[in-house]
Amino acid sequence: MPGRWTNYKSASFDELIDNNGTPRPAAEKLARWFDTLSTEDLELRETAAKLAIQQMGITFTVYSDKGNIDREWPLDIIPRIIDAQEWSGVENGLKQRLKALNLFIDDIYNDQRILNENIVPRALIESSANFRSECKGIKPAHNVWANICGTDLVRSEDGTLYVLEDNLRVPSGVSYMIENREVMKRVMPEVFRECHIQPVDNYTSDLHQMLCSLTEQPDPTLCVLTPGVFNSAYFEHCFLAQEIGAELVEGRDLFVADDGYVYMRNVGDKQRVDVIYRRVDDEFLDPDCFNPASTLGVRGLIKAWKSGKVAIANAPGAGVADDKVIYSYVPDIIRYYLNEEPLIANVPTYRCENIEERNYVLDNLPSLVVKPANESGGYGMLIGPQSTPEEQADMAENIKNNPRNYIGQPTLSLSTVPTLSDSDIEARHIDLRPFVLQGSDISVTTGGLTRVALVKGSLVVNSSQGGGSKDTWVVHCDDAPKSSSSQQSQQQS
Amino acid sequence: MLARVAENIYWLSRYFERAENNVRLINAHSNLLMDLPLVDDHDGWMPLISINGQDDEFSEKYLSANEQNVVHFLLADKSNSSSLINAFFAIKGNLRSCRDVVPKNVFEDINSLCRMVIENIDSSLSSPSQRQAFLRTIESRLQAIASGLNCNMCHDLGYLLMRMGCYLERADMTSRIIDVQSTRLSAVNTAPEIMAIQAQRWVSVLRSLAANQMFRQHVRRPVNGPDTLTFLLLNTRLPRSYSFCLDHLEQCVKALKNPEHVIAAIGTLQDKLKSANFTTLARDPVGLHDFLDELQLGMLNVSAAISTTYFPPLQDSE
Repeated sequence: MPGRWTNYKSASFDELIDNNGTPRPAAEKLARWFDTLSTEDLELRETAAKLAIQQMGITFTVYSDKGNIDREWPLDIIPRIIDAQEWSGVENGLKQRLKALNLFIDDIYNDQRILNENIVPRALIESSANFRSECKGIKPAHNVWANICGTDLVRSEDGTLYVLEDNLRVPSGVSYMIENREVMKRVMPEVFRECHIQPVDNYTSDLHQMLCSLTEQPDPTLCVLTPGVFNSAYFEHCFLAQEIGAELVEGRDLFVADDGYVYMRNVGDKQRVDVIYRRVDDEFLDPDCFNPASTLGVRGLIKAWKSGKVAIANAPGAGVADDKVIYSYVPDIIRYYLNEEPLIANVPTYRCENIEERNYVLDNLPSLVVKPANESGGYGMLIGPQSTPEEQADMAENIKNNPRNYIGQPTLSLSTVPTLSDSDIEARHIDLRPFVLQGSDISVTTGGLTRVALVKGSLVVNSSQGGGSKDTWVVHCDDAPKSSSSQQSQQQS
Repeated sequence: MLARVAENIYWLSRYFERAENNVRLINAHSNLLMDLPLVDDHDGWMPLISINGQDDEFSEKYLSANEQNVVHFLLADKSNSSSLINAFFAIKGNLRSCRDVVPKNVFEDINSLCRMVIENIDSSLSSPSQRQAFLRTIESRLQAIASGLNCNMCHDLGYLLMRMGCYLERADMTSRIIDVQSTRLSAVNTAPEIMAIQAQRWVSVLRSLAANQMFRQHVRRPVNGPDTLTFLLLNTRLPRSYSFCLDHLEQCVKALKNPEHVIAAIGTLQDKLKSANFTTLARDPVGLHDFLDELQLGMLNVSAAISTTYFPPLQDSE
């Protein structure tokens, strides 16, 4: 259906189509290919994608009153496209940010220079729900605490990319990034020949390498520690274990023996574990150390970690930098440790603890986004423009009762990507979660997981709350120098 | 391999084998009943319920043992823990806990089959012809899965445990299927018409175990009781014969550590088979039933020995 894009309109910055209905350079080939498809063709491809997802068993689990329900992963078949040149800048910005954050966490648990110099207020750290005093004095491998980071990026009206959140605890979604690509390759193989799309599946080997770099053991035994089959991200835990050749274990499969090492309960014997990629929150890791009622963890695990007998990624305590109030200090943190200007901007953030900023937030609730400092998954937040006066009043109450725990930010009009809706192709808001790995090296996924708010006008992209996803393509434009691989294939033909 | 995962993969395999045998049995049994016009509905279908000792459970829920009710109970009744649909729910659950050790392409086949069965089981019961086609599809897809596992998985500890689950369940099903069609059908009805079609029953037993053609090739005599029993219980080349399964189970266990208890339990069964007189048993439905019952009890011991040796309960420390 030619001319599909001329009537396409977005009220925000659109990643694929500009204001005149013209595809952006990196999206041109894709847009042209979509023009060759009839509406029926599109529906067929969409159905094929749904079937592939069913067959491949790509699911996520939703907690509900009726128990946990496995849902098929929602994928919209129109991809989000990023120009390769822009991406290399973003990549550098993400690496810069994680390096600085890791220096910060290491400092917090050791010398506390940044607190002593009062760049970040000491009281803020000591009141953070994710500060673990048990971790003071620890030096994890390479002094890196957050080995796996899932940064959320958003783009505003003027096209600027911002970091919205640093997820340094147990960020999820990377398996869906890889599986989205698998599904797309099944349902629209033609288009891969047209556009030069950079692959995404190098992430798992990077992850494997990074985890191995955390121990001195050659050919180490790796584990992915999952809370269990009913966890919302169990699919991902399984996927990653499979891809990196790790054992997928639950807390009850591990124990700390008299020699202080961690072992798996195998058939007929035990096997030592060198590195644990844990997908269990800090407070459930070890009943001896944190939540004593936890059945998800391993008794004695933290002691084994402290004495260097097992590596844990992310390190316990890494979440201290995941606090949304501390987020507002990240530009200063980058300047302090790296002596560089931040390459990716922070969203302007009002700290409710500060009386002036609090009053500003309280006066402007209808236009701001307010977030609790230590929640994830989009829970407990207020999106001002889409809230009722009652919700605003409740939030005002929450802020006054616990100002330290809230921040306010201007409501960004997130950028959009054309998305299949019931009737047509319409603009829907998106964000982007790239994953950054740091061990002995530092690496970034090619693109990341694009999440999309499927409801018209909505800004909530979380899959637990009706969000979907898109495949994310990092594409070299024609006017940019051709990649070496495409030159090779031309020579061969 | 983690003991917890090992147990899951072992049970996954048992459920596969159980499902495959059950669908084949139901198809072969309805085929047999078409050739037994004088057997009434109840006498014809009730043995399929009795083989699992579910007579009371069934009659609490259903007024009569006709084809429709029995087939519904066996295939689609979610309140019957042994029904086919529950076997597939169990497969789904086990698969979830050992997904990381199952090859991806086979995972997709298993996952699709589970979906297909759970979605279509009710509509497949609308007519016997649809049901037969549906069951036949399940059987062949289960066999494709077994073959996929064989070709795609390293023949490591996990695979050994799958084979063990399969042989154990298969031997057990062989003894139950012989029981249901040879002893129970005759035990409930000794009318001369029934006794006159002895051979037909033995043919059906062979068919239920997909062994009819192999019997003709290897035994080369008209189908009869003693030969059928010998073939199905003692033959060492027929994959569904009891001895074949026991021998292979024993080989698998010998590759594991600490096999003594399991091997002892297998040995008891092997001795029992060696000392049996099949010429006599073939003519004595009650004696044969008791013999098969003993085999089933012996197999329970094997199963218990495997569980206690290889899947110890999780303790807090060692």
